[in-house]
Amino acid sequence: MTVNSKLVKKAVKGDQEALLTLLQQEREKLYKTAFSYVRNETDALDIFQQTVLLAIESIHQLREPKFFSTWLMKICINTSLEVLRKRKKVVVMQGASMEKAAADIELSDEKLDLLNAIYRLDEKYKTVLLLRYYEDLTFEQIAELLGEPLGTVKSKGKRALSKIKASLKGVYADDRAQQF
Amino acid sequence: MTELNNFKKAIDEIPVPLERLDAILSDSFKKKKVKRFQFSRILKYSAAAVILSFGLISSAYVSPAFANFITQIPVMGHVFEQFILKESYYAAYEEISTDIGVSSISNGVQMDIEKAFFDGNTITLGFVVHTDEGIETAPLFEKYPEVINNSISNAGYDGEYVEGVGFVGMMEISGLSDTKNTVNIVWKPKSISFDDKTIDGNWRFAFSLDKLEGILIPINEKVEKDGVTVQLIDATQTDVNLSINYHQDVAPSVHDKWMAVEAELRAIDNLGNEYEVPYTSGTGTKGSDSSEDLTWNATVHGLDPKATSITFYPFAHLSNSQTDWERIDFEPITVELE
Repeated sequence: MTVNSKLVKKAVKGDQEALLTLLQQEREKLYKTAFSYVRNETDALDIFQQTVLLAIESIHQLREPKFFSTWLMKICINTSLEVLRKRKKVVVMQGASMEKAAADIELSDEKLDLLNAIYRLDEKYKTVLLLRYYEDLTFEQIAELLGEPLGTVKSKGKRALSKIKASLKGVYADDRAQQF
Repeated sequence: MTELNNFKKAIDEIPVPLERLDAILSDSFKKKKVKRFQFSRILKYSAAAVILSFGLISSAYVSPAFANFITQIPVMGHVFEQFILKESYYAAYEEISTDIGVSSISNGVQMDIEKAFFDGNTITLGFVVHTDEGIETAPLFEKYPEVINNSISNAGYDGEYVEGVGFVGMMEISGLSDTKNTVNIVWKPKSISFDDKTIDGNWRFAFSLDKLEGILIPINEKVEKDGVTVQLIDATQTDVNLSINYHQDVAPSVHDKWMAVEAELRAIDNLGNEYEVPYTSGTGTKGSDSSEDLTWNATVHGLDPKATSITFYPFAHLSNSQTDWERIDFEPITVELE
């Protein structure tokens, strides 16, 4: 049994210290996932807060310790999608926070373009990409998680990559787009 | 795999405010008042509702299971999709709103707040954003309005671009920590983003709104089914809407089985007009048996002034996940209007 599996089992049994340790391990990933949807720090922090509170509330219901990370990611994604839906202002644009972020960390143009291409993706494609390439799930696992047919999920994955490629081609008609 | 590496690298470039994340984690586990960020969607006690219904003045945060419910259950969308620019509401709104008529221009972007009203629970603002070039996408404000000496737990807006006018929006602000007869509002966004660009500026608004006069209608009727009780506490009737406070009480055995329980209302008046009754804020019940014991404030918009009674049809969703849920429909409760 891995250290994390032990921690998860402890957390499920009510050990809050164990859960805190696990959430500390996952915090950056959760925040980045939330940010990739809402593109501003305030809302991303809000989603992170909701995800943490929900995890504390419902960890006792987690049946399979090995799915802890995926379970947490699902909460985060669902919360992000709900925030977007409620705001009804899901706009394809580069928000103030993103510009600030780019300035703060001096992103290269290429990285910034790629990140913006991801931001601009429709949520249904973004979710599949995040689960596939950031959470390292297989398409089968994603299909199960989202409750969608495998073919649909694979199709979304392909379309997402195509859209990113197309988006990057608008900027670079060269290797950058071909890498995706 | 190239795609995998590139995707991860791109996401990893997102800067992370680690200190703030750690603060949230720390606060959450201390079970203290969770550090609230601007417009946190974690609902909290509405002071007015608490005083009205329980006489308590302490505060606590509602169960985060609420958040789970709204994120997991698609059927909830029917209420949340309520469009605040609904035609009947719009017309009534025109009549009772306070004319604010203030403008602020900065760096070529003009913001106008045309009308507003405060029904005691929710502040509604009508605003317009326009530029000489026009606006294609919904504007994103750096900051929502603030209510002086008050905190807010919910805010959002909707609207559309009107040719020759600009982006015409309606904003709702609710979940005030302290409901008073007068609210003082300040809005100073430092930037507005739209059409793939962000304009920095210095827009400034400050104005006051008096609470709309309303008649308090005590109700205190409850219905129970399958371990869930819904109690309509009271309602406040104004010329255009009906603000209702109701409570859900969940038996511990029900909460053992279901992660989240959420009671909602729909309503039909005696003239046959049907209304959705979206809630604007929810409060936890401190010291209760179940963290799902909640008190809600909800609003019937565009109430027909000719209606003399309204019948509420309570229903509740019990859920563990998107696919694992049940619905309970309760007996209706009729309320005589003033």
